[in-house]
Amino acid sequence: MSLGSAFALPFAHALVARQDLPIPAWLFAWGASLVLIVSFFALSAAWRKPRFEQLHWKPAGEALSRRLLSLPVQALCGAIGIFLFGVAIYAGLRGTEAPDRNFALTFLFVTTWLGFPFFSAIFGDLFRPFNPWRAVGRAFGGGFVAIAGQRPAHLRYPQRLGRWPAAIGLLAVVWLEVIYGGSGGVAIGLDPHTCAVAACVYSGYTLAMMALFGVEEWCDRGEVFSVYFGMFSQLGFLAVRDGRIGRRRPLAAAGRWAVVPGSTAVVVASIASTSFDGGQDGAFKEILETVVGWVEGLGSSILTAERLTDTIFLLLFFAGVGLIFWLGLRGMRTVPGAPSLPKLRTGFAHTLIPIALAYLIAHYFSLFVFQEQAQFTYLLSDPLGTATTDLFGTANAGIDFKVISSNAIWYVQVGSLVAGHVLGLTLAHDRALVIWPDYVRATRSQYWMLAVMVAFTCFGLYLLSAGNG
Amino acid sequence: MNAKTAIAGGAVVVVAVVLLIVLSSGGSDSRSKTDAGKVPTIVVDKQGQPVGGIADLNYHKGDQIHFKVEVPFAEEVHLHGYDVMKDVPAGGGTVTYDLPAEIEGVFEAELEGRKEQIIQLTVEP
Repeated sequence: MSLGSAFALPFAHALVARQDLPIPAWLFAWGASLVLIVSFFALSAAWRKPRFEQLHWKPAGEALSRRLLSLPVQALCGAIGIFLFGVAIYAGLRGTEAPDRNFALTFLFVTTWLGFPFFSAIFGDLFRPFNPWRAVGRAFGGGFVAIAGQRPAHLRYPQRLGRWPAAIGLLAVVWLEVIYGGSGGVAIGLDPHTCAVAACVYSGYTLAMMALFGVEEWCDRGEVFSVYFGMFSQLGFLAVRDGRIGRRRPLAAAGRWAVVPGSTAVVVASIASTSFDGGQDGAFKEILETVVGWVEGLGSSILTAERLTDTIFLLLFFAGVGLIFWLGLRGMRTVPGAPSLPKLRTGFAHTLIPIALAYLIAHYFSLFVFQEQAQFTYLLSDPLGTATTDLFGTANAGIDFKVISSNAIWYVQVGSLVAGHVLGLTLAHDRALVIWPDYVRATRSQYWMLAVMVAFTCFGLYLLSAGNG
Repeated sequence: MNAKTAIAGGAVVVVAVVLLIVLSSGGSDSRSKTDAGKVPTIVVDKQGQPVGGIADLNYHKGDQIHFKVEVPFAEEVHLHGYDVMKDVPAGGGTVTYDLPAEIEGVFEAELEGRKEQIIQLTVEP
């Protein structure tokens, strides 16, 4: 039995001609049951001493680090980032308006937006060396030093702002992608020209902020993509530390990530935006249509009504995800010896990173698999999509939708949610042992986080199984 | 593990098993397959809208996808995913789709010129 009709993904809809089938009820049941059983055993059989508080740092050989981190290699990586970003903007401005035939949308919203989280979660921060804005900012900074003979003076970044600019920026990017581009019943979604213009505007804003506050400061705090991809990279096993490349224990870096204000908002925004994208044409389609009807009845156009309604719901999702996390924190606060709520928040926000990653994989895995075929064949040969170039002889290739079966996609979706659940519980239990050295109290505190994790995981399963009726 | 934890754990497992049984008991497929022997015809009105709304066509992998689209003006009908385009001549006409259901998933057929979806086609494993 399928629980409804198709799980329709508006953004995927704009690019890929195929949408995923909803996961069948039996798999939903198995997934949810597995989550509950795993949770129980996690509590009853968990370890009694923290294991992820130390990085267990193992630097690679000095010669290797020296080569990989040398100025020419950094300049090359930066140049690659600038070149590809430039191609995307040019294709968006000058190429076809068909989203699926234009290099811009697939490169920016699939290869980059999905690829960096997936691979950074394994290998560490892969975006940093290729970040085009960082490369431009550093080049200008280097030029300034060469000419003026001193480092540029920057304003002091307001520490209370923390990562809030990135969290708001993340919601803005998602708004552009799935609300501005997806509303109005327009089947093609965000058009490449709008995407390119938005990229130019964002570039101007980012470079201005870098000039004001410094390149690295802005990348660590406010630059949406650096912060967002950097969040997932905390789970990865490779990093650069004190000028050396090295290995660290996977997941271990995440525990330090959330101490910067606004970090919780970033991870909450990630879960909320993926949930909204998954639900707006599926589980929540009917209620959205009802509200759109009400707003339209007030005298607005259908396009305005849809965008307004979707914006309100995106913010409601953000508030809802935050509320569930907050309830978990309130529950933990009742356990004797608990620190203040803000300390609990910064202490446990990182436990949501695996959940955010699991949501991304569950909702976009098939899109990534299918659309990357386009990326490395016809979009590479004909970036503008105008059928006037065939750079690598693959301009006439297509997407093979039979490369992966629906069953395989379902197993990846459910498997990623269950794995995210387990990793989230692992991080939460580990942190509880630091806050409550008494094992019994630590376990009691984790009843609450377990409830939070079960809620997120089952909600994720529900989104995958519910259809658009 | 103390007694309370054991009881709580037992309760969780019971809930899980009940959930599993309840949700698994609905049979393997409740979708109504497109009627065999009848060729569904989707009629598009003069405004370019499918009469009766977007048509739902459901198949299983290995079935034969077979439907017709009647359009009162010149258009191109595009079945996405399978990437089959058919031209409706000036003055209108009917195009017929007849092909094996080889790709699983949910697909759209639309009036390409107007970007108007007229069919949602589902192929299950």
